[in-house]
Amino acid sequence: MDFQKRKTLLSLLFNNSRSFSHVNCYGESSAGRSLSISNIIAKNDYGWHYAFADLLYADGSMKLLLKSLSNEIGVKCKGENVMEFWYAVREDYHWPSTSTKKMIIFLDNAQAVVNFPTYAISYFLKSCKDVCGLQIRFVTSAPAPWICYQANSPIGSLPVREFHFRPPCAEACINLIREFEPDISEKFVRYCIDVSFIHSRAPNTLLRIVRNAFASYEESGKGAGVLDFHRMGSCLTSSSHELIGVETKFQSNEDDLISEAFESMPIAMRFLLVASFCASNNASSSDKRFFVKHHGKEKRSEAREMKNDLARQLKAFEPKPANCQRVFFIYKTFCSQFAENDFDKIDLKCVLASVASMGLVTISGPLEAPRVRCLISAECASKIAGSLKIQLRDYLEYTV
Amino acid sequence: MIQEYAGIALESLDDEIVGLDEQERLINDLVAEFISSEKGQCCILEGKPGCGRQSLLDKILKAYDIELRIINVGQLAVDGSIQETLAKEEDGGSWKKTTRLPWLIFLSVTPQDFLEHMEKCGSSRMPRIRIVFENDFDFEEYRQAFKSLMAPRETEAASSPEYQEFLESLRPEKWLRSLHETYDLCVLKQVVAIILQRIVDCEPEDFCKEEVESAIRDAVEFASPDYEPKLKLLEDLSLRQQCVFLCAHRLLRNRPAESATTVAQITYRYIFLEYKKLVNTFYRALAVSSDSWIFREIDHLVEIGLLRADRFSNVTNMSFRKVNLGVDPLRIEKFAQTLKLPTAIADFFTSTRT
Repeated sequence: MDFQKRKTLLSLLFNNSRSFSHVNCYGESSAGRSLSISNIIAKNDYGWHYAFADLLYADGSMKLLLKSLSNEIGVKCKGENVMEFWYAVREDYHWPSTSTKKMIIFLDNAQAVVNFPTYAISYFLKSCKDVCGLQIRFVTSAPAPWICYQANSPIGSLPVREFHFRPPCAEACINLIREFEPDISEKFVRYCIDVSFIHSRAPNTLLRIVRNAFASYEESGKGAGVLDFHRMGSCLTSSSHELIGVETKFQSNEDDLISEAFESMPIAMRFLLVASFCASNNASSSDKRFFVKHHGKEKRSEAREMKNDLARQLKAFEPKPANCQRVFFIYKTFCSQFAENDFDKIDLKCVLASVASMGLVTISGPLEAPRVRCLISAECASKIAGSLKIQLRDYLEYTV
Repeated sequence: MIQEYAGIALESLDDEIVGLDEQERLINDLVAEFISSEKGQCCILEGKPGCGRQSLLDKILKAYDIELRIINVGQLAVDGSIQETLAKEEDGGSWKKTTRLPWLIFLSVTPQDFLEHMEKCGSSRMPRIRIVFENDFDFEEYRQAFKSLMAPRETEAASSPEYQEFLESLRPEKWLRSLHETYDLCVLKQVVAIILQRIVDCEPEDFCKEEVESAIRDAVEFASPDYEPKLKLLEDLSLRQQCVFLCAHRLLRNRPAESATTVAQITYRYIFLEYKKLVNTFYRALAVSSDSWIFREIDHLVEIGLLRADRFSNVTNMSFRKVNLGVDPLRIEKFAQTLKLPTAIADFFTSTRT
């Protein structure tokens, strides 16, 4: 934070006017917003006392919030009476002199204010003005402006006074990283920042990227000397891949995890998942075409494929709720076609309940006629169908 | 020198009350009659939140050296012994001795039709004395109130000819009319506080007329109804996050809603597909290894309020979560031109969608 911005923040926080009873500091959390502001408030020499509370810890409970504030300030307060709390602060706190009683209450994680009842939190923020001889200023720290957390902002009143906490720019990031790591050359740091800054602006993430890239660069280095940009690029790409997801040529192991997860499932569960996927992503009018007449061997003409492409662009591609009986009938069709053993004795509703508890499908609607919606992606469904030797593409109306 | 007078004005702004002379006279008469006659009295103060009822009461009672005790109605409901507690506070002795002392009670209410919401047995017991805090001001009175707030009475700023000349040079008749048409005097007081704070905050060597005009312009913009601070967060995002947000805006700006009662929404997967289209065709450096990274960026945009998540659907797969725009699309298009995007990315977002 530069000098002018800091002076503006100091003037906004520590002026003696009662019109600024609430100041909201918003911005990126990765820029160290809450820590910087709490340091500025705690070490001020303007005569303001400091109290800290966390709205995320209070979790929507006014009683917990007042209790944590009472413990922080050192006064005793019973229950959730806000006015008694303010009077206790005025009378029982160890003020150094009786002339001015000024306190800043710093509320961290202010995005959790939506968990509180609206009347309780607005009364808490406004009732401090009602106490004579006591001046309270609330400083909240949130990722978004305060208007995002007000459900019904009153018409005809000003928004809350705010300070925009900006993250450091690329040049400031380079200077910060060189302060922490003086051994790394400036050219190396500048190259890493220039490449990675379009993906992430968090200084901590960039510092870890530079550290990992420099470590792997020195590990693979033949000797000190002129910087090898080709080796720098490969080291930077491999370290960026883990932290900010930059694309590399190496194959990631996410597909292996998915394959291992689904191959350990029972075969009946896999058949039921594929059946629910077909039921959720096909129109019910196409069931006869896919499962009765052609059994996946329908010839696809080019004109029909083009028509399907046009229809797919207009459709919002997402799974639709399907009737439970329809899923069971598709399941039986798949078992009669592809299963080696007979699965007639399996309780399908128990299998469906297991799949729903795993989060792969959702069940809604009444208990007599539940509706099933499959939540797995097309890639997962293709892998499961491949393990069952089902050509899933032939059973889908719109191929993805 | 001007900044010192502005500092004095900012300190005295809390006690300055404008536009409530009639209400002040009525309450003053009531308090004087109560003190002289030792007879209990009750009064209703009606007005909007922030119209100055309590400030006026504090000011009047401070002249009589009486502290105003404020009790919330909810507190009366849950605490049955509040009357006894108040009586003990006043006397310091037993409860019975103080039952015959007179009380001066002010009922402070916000809605104008609160009597219609009360039960009949309550409304019949309401006091007949009612003071309404609602006034209509023409522009000349509004401008006089602005000058009174910028230079409060009984301060050095009010009697300084240099400061008065400075106030005249601000030319409030040009920019004050928009505030007058929208807000009343309590909001004007806050705007004046913002302007004075900016004047005091400025460095003495940098203080000039352009700086003051910039402070006034910022304060008027802050007070206008179309003030939108969320878009400033867009400048802080990385290029990847900006592109994700602009992809969502590109998909949602012309998309019709599913029904009349819902807004247009888009799933995470469609935003990722649009992002892949941008990466594959226009800007290769933004390529990511997995769609979960883009989903993480969409979650971050929801957290800072630029996108609004559909919280009613119980969806566990991230691909099928839905978001809609948290900011007006027209404002986004105007703001996106000020972003310093690379030329290829700007071409992608300005091209018409096929």
